Amino acid sequence: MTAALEATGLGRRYGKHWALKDCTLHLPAGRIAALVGPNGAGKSTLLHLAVGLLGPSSGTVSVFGATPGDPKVRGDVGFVAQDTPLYPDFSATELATLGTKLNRRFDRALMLERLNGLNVAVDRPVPALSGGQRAQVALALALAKRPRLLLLDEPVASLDPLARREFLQALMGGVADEGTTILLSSHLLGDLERVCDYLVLLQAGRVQVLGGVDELVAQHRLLTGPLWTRDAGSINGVAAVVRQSHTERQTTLLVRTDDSAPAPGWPDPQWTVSDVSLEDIILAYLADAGAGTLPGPRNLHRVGGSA
Amino acid sequence: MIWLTWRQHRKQALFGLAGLAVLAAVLIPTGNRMRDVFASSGARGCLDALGGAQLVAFRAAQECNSTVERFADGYETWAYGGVLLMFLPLLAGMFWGAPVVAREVEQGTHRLVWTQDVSRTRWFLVKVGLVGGGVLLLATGYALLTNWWLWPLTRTLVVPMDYLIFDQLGVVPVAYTLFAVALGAFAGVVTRKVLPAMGATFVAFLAVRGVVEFLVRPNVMAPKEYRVATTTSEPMLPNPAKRDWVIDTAVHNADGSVKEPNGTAFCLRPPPGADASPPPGAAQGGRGGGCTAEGGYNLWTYQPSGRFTTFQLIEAGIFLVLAVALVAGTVHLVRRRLS
Amino acid sequence: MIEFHLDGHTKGATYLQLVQQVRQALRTGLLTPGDQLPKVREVSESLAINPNTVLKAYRQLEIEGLVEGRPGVGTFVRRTLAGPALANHAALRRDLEAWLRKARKAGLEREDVVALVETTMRATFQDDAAKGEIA
Repeated sequence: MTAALEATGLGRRYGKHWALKDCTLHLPAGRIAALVGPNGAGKSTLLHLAVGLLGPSSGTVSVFGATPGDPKVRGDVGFVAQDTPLYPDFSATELATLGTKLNRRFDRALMLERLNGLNVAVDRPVPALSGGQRAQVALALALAKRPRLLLLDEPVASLDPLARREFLQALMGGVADEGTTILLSSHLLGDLERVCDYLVLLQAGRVQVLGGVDELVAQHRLLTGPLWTRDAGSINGVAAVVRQSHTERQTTLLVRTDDSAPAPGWPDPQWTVSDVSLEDIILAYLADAGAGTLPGPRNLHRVGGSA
Repeated sequence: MIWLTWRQHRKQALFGLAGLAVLAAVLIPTGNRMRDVFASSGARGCLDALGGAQLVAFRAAQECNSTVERFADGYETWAYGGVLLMFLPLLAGMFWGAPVVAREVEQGTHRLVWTQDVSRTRWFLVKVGLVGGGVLLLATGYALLTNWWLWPLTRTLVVPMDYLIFDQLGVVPVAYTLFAVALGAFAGVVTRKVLPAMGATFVAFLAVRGVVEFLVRPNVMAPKEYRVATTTSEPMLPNPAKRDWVIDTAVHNADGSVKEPNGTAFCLRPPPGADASPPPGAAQGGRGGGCTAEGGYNLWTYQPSGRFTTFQLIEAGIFLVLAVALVAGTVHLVRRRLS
Repeated sequence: MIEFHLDGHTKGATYLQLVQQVRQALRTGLLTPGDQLPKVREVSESLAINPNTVLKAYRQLEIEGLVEGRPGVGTFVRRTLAGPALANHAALRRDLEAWLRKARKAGLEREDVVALVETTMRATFQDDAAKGEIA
């Protein structure tokens, strides 16, 4: 499977501070990936490196096998920056002209049709539009390039719930027919759960979790049972305990299993096993920066490839 | 890219053209009037009559000077008001140069435009090229106007190579303007904000101009000297029609030591077969000290007006080289530093 | 044409909800052979979900032989799940409505009804299954 985005040992330093360090990841083409992590984890830095706004301080990054910013792939990558910046005195029509003039491939009609369909006044300067409409203009501008890889940096962060839903509808509708690969950073896990089938979780500048959502969900379980500590020996079939909480009598564990799909009855009758959602998994890993940077990228390569 | 640059800067271009039109509306009528008075007052005629000699007779020079003074009386304020025009290049640097990159970074739109197909080097070069080209046209228009307007004054009140006057003549205003715009663009990349970039442009522009004006320019070429013996029957003064830039005037003793700084002295010896009455006006210049030492002389240190073009080209060259260096520096920073 | 919806409270894969809704529509006769399912783009746009999820649901239905994809045209219903029992639906529904009125009169809330129906269904269908195995 070709990689839309691939990074090996990628790092970026600002002065002495590493915003992103030793980042190795592989985003298969056609995936819609969530880029998650606390503020300052390096999400924007990773996106800027991928789109060629930044150059790496160490390691390498490639999109469709070429260096970001290379004329060969420049037109293949669309980007919606944080806060969806647009020229303030331009109208959407003028932004469409900008897109036409600055790109080899740009579907001006598509952009304007899309905005007309959303009842966005295309002839008014963008500051006269609502926040949701401005975000739609920025998205339409990026989609009109017909990119093979679309990178979005917290595009819905400042939008109200309705505008957020409309944005995601437009995004999904916009890429459904093209098989566009997406990397979308956001803090809104509920949205990501609907939209994304791949997860990149960054913590303190490093990749902590990486992989297909279905595989991750299948690999993680919530176990409830009698009081348990690590000293009591490992539980059969558990690769790692991601999060644990205890009461006087009871222990709740969020675990990653050895097997990608544990059999019914596992691990033994004293544990009650329940499924977890992507949101549960993300929150568990976010709460503990030390909770294993596994599953390693190489491992998930294989899992992703077999899906 | 060309469309985008025009779309972004068309307001500034219109403001520039409007400013130039206002300037022309003020300068053309007043300039015409000044030229009329220059001719009708006789100032022009007497200056032309002095011809091109280095030194002319004391009396002829003094007579013409008083005619010129009558003309100049009405225009002194104008000449010094014209100094304000010197700030126009600075305004161009602050309002056109500084926002070229800084406004994009401030609004975040650099992330929009740098993720289109066009490379950011090309983006910057087209932008700065077109803004620079527009500025070049406007600055040329402005320089033509001021050169034309100042002409009667540079023949009378002021000399073309003098401080602040030189700066408004010839091609240097154009070079200053291009430098100011390049400086503004560079400051904008460094500060990433429009207002600080404008402030930095203001300070740096005045600093560089000051250094070149007062430290570099006087040392570009060694000045020349006129020596006229203090004891003479035929006192001579530098020809006011030549418009040399006199840097220093002093009375020296025969051994070369300075007898009297900032002055001119003559000790009139009657020519053979003439009466001894001094020419009118010589008394003030003489200060009564000219006769005390035999062999003393008046020394004028000056830059000849013939060097005007050379000086212009050297100074314009300095500022154009600086402008090119700043553009190169800006390209480097745009490619490496910003994201 | 049917319209999908997502139940936010139901945990479990989104694609299964879509599969379930198609099956439901086939069972109630809302969809009949030859009907076209909504296009992948339309579903993913209206629900704001990953198009791969919709594709996965349609693939599942295809594997089950309920629908078939015609490249470049769309996905069409191949067979129905309604069976001959469909004709009885109206009568059964009337009975059910009468029963529900009775339950309400007896003081049952909505949740009581659901609980009662679920337990009864579980018991009844289990009995049937057991009998089936014996037979």
